[in-house]
Amino acid sequence: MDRPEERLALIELLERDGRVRRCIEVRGWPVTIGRALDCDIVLDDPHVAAHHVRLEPAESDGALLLHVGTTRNGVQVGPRTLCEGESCPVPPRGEVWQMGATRVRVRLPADALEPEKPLGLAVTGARPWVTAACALGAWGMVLMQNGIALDPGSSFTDWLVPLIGLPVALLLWCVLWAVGSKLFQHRFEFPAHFAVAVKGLVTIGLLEILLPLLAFSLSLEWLSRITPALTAAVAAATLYAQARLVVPLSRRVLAAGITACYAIGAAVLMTLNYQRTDRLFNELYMATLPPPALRLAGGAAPKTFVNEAAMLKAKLDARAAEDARPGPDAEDDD
Amino acid sequence: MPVPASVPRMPFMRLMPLLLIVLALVAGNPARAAAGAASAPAAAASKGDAPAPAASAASAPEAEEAAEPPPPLSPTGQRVYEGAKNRLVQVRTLLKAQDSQSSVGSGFLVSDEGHLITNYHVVSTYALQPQSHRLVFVTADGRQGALQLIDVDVVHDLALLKPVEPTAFAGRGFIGFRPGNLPLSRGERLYSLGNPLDVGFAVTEGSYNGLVERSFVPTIFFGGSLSPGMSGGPALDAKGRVIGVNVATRRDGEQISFLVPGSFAQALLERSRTAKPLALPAFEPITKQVMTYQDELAKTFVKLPWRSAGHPRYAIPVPREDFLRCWGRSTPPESRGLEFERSDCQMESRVYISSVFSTGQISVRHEAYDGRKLGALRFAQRYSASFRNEFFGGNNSYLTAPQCHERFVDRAGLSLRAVMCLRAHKKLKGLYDVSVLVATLDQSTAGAQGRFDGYGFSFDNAKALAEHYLDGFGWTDPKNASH
Repeated sequence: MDRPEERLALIELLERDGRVRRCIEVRGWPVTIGRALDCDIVLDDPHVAAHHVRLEPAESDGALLLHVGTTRNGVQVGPRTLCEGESCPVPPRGEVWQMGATRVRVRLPADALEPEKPLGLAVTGARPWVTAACALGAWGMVLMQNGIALDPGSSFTDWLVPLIGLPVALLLWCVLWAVGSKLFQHRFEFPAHFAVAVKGLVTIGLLEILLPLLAFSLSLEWLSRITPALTAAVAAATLYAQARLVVPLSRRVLAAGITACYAIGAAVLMTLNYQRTDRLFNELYMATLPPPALRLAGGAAPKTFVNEAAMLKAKLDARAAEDARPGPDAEDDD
Repeated sequence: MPVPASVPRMPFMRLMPLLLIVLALVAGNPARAAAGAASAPAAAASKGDAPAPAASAASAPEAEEAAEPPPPLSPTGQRVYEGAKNRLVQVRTLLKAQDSQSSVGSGFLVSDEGHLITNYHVVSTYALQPQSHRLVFVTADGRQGALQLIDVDVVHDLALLKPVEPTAFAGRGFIGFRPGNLPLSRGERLYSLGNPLDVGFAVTEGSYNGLVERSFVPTIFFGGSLSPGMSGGPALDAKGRVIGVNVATRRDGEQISFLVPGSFAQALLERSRTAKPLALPAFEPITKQVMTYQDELAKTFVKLPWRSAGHPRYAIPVPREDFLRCWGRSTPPESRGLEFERSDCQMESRVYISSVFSTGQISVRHEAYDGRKLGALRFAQRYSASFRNEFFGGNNSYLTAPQCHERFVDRAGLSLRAVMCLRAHKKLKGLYDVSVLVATLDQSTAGAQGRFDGYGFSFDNAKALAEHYLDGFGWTDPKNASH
């Protein structure tokens, strides 16, 4: 490029997704922007005035100032809307501001550059061998589950779904997300989506195996109760990681959105469960019975067990009394 | 985890279709009866509630008998009917608002003061929902009048009624009871009277077949046909004396019907001859009666020793078949997977409370699994799936949702996983349903799972039954304990 030392600034006009649509080199101040032909930068945005903005260094300290010209829509700088005749320092460090419907960024030589963004698998920070291990692990768990569910001597066709169907489904899932990335980020981030998806799958698989085993081993029934909620949380985190690769929203907004969805979903389910069953979690009792060698917790005598169960009486009586209050005499049963 | 087809299901209150008993012989509005859900009497009654042309095979002959000129009866039958017809009534439950009938049954005069006996299930809607229903009688000669409920005996499914107008039955006399010191012999003719399907008053001949075996509540086995609408009608001997009260029939057999022994009706009459009408809804007296019944049932049950399940390793509690009936099943021979043997024991009698609710019953069940062909992992998966595949009911208008307690239990050195679930009755205060689910945990490729259910017991009895059940588990041979 010619004489980069004479380049005073770059003015970038951005798309909604943050991509630069047009880039204008500045080799002298002031610079006027608007729709009029006598402006330095002529825009075709109908929401921009004829002489919308003038950029000019201040006489006192040379800091670049933004002067708003004769305009109805003004200029949006951060949360502020500047009206006709107002001025302010040009937002520093390449922050985006808006005139009409046009998003603008001014880069000055003194601004620090953002570090280089990673591409491909590196986006997620995942190492290829970890991804490969997760993929094989998730597939292995599915195959094991299928093998356990089948009786000995089952036919080859019983293995088609976990052998072929599930990998194909996972690939399709990642392709769909990658198409999303292509649409919004203009990059087909298949490896990154694959890495995120298999990591999520393997975590969910491990939780579903280990938590009930631990619950049985130590007779900690609550671990078994919360397993679905935990795996749903991992699924939500996986969705968040995939959505981050697609949607041009800030990390915080996305995280808040997905957390809110999870919290609302959990609250609704728990409320419904409580209304129907007087319990927050769906599971009535722990039903995982692995080989007895895994049992660590001790047992009680039948009498002790029955006496412990008698503590349920107060809760049952309270509920029965509450529900027995006069109401419509509709009769239903399970 | 999906339950593989090879794992036997252990459904809640499993009713073998062959054993379906029609307890409610009350004819009612088909739509209303169809709305009744789980309990066998209601479900079965709904079949018979259809208008005559759609009636089941068992009831069709009755319908024809009443609709067309009746086939010639034996001279005794004619005489019995002639003698009783003025003392027979149809008992109708009407919806107060629209005056249309919600169900119909039969009844008969048992005193000069106008006392009528019918089934409790004929008047249960009125007894429990008096605000929207009323009771009326219709005699064979077409006279009508209002009825009031004097007392009920829910355990034996009986109700004592009286007309609101004291002189409504003046001069009609009553049907006397056959004295208790004159026992019937098997095969003796009985004549059952009533108004089947609201078609018209009818008499059905049948025979006395003794008491129903393995029934906790004494019930007469009547070898004749009963149809919906005949509930509450009398079954008379050749001399026109009351032997029993029509109560139920079975749809899976021919001419297998049931009568409440007349002595219970007589006792109810004697007990409440001078009583005032019941305060309605009648949940309080009903609860009191179920309380007495469950106490006797629980005490009798706990006293009975368990019999052997025939398992080489475990003692598994299987009840004696004094008043429960057991059915067994095992793995089909072509099975490549988990092998099992199961036993289902259940009381066939229960206490009818309303068209959607019965109680006062016990069932005991177990499954012995052998997974040596499968290996430890596969066995654990199926064993868990079977343990998970249990239903303990949900919240409804009669019962709360279940609350459960679970932990490892060591019974005489045998390691068990046990779950005890309780539900409280909302309308029958002080009664609970108790379920105990047990799995043995000492082998990695074999085990046994059992379930006990007691419906409608006091809390103390529920505890005693649960403990009694858990105490039934153990080793068949103490040598095994060292394994």
